[in-house]
Amino acid sequence: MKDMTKFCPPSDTLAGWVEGRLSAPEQAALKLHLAGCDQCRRAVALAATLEPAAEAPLNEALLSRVVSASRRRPLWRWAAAAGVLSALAVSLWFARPRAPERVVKAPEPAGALAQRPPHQVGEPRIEVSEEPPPPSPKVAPKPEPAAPKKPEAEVAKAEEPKPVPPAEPAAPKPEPVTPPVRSAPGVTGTDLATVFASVFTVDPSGDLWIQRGEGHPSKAGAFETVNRGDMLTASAQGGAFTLEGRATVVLEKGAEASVYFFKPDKSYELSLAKGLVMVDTEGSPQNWRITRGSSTLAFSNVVGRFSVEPRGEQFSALLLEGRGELRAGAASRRAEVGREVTSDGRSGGRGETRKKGDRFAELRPKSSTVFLATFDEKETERPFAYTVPAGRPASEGSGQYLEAALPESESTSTSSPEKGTLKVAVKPEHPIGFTTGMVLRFRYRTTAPSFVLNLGEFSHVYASKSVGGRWADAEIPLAAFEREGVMMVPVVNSVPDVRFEAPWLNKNSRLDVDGVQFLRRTR
Amino acid sequence: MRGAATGAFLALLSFPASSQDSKTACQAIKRFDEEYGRPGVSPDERIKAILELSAVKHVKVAQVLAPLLTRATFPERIIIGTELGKFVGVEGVSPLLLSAYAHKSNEKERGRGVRVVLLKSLGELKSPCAVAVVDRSVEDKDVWVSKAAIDAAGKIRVKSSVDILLRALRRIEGPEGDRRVRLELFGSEVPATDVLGVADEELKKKQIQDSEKEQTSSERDVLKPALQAALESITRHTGANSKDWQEWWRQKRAKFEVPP
Repeated sequence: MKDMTKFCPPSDTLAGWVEGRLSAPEQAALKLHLAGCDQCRRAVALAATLEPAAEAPLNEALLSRVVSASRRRPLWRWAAAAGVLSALAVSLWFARPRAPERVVKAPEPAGALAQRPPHQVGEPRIEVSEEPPPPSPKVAPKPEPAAPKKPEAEVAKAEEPKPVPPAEPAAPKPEPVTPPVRSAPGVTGTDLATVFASVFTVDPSGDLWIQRGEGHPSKAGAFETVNRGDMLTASAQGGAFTLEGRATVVLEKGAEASVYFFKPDKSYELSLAKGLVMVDTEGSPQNWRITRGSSTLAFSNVVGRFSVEPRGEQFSALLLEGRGELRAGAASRRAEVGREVTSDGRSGGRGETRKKGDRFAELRPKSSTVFLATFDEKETERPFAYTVPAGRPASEGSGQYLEAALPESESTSTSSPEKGTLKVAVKPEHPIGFTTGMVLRFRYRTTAPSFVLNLGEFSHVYASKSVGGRWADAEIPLAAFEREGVMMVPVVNSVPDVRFEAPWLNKNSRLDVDGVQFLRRTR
Repeated sequence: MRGAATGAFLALLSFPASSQDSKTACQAIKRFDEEYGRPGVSPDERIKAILELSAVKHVKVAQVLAPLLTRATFPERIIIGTELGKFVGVEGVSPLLLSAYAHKSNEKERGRGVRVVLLKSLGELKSPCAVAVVDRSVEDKDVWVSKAAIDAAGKIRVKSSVDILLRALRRIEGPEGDRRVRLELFGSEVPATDVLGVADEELKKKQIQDSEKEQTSSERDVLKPALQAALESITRHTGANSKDWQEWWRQKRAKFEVPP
């Protein structure tokens, strides 16, 4: 079992604590951890409210739980009351009829920026380069199914149970809730999944490994779902990945960390075990909470790049470039580029921003996935939401793919075949903004000598290299697509859908497509 | 006396407006210079700077952007060419576009997209000074340049274009109109791939040709509707085919004036 005194335990262990399933040594170790870890204590307090309504007034029962869980940290009265109200809101929400599951949305496409009036400035910086693309990574085999997720339920903001100076603004009010219909009681690991959400990683580069629970580490595939408690490591050399198409995370050689999503704060959580970790928000404002043992530090609305690394029992954070708010200890202030801050709130000296920036550029993925459809994911677990207007799912040993079908109006009989068009189409939920250097990558198998690709109104005829019914890989720069002699241009044009069309020549004609991916070059 | 005073008053009213436009343009140009020429600026940031500057419709802005039509990247040229087509009513823009159209950096297949957007923009500006270039481009070997010129002729609407358009219509209604139009920017030959289930080489070759026919259009399919539309726009007459048009034009040509 992992050392629970220093590092946050997995969800199952916390659930075991709430359900009273842990052995005595486990309880003792976890108790020690909870005494010093606000985050786990908060999670346990929230989950522990999931039970049938007690005879006693609910607020008293909740108050006693929250207070006992925060035994070692005295609470201000108002913070306790706010915590009670929050827990009440949580318990009421859990009993509501289930809402649809959280769908991770792709970041706002860059091309969408061009839809805004030109006078708007300060658009998120988009980094591009002219470097040649890396070799096409093999799409990882279908990942182990994550712990079954409950459909999303609104979780009211959990209040920070630390003491704060009276000058601090009042705690935000809990979100309003409607009276619930209580469902069956019980606390399980899946209930904790409503507080923490898994994230997905794409575009791994360097020497990136994933250790899931107590299992053996495995090399990170092109697309992975990472749960709380799964450890990302970079051993022999540094490693990096793109986080849900929104951020780039770089682990220096020897670094270990886990990453997940904390729903109450709508923030990414980076639980730092060891080594230097750097994060770039790729131009979009994000909330990040970094923890190490009982130490916590948070970036709010950070746009830019920061690094974190251990400093004894504490750790330090350094804003390498950009801007954001930094909360460490009781203090909250604007983060200063180049100024190190430790997790206990002390300011350190000037950090090595340039050296770390250079190392980041060296290790980061050279391209980042803006959209990916492997057709293996369940509809509710797609990292990038999309629909399939044409084509039908088919499967074979390596997974699922899309098989073109003739439209019904063009379907032929084997005795008297007629001409027709085989079609496959994928439509992302949001148009994909075109940035300089972006490429379309996919796998295909076809009997046609060539087929047409359409990105919205722009087209490209692709000469097939698929031979003997075998799969082939293709990569086409978006600049190769044109409409009436004019090429697609970045920023202005966007991609609403991807359509593949091949002529139906005989009864053996086929067009299969897999692994549709849009990649953006990084600089 | 009163008339002179009124005229002076009106002149006074107009003066601040034009100087304000000029001031706005100068400020926008200054911001553009800072952003476009910034060290380390990315291609996309340069494009955004171009879009922001081109929102100010002033001849000074056109004079800053026009030189980039011959030396910026092709995506930037296409965007600039498209945006300058929106400078309707701004004097002096068409000559800048014509100059870029004739520049050797926009020649041949590589510069085709730029020539297409320049022709489209010349059509939007409806500038009579562009007629000679537009008419000449109607018979360009590249079908998309030809189509853009045909569309522009239909927008500019001058009598001299009718003869050119009728000649083009007669040409593409004949065998020349069967020529296939490739869809990709840099055309490549379709390789002879393994067409599953077909052993016969001749049949395989035929299927490759059939495949190409399915995926491409003929010049006639592309240009005939454009030619018809342009002729109708200029003359306000509808003809079924080139023979029909020739007959009508023979009767009307001598006294023809472009109707409103």
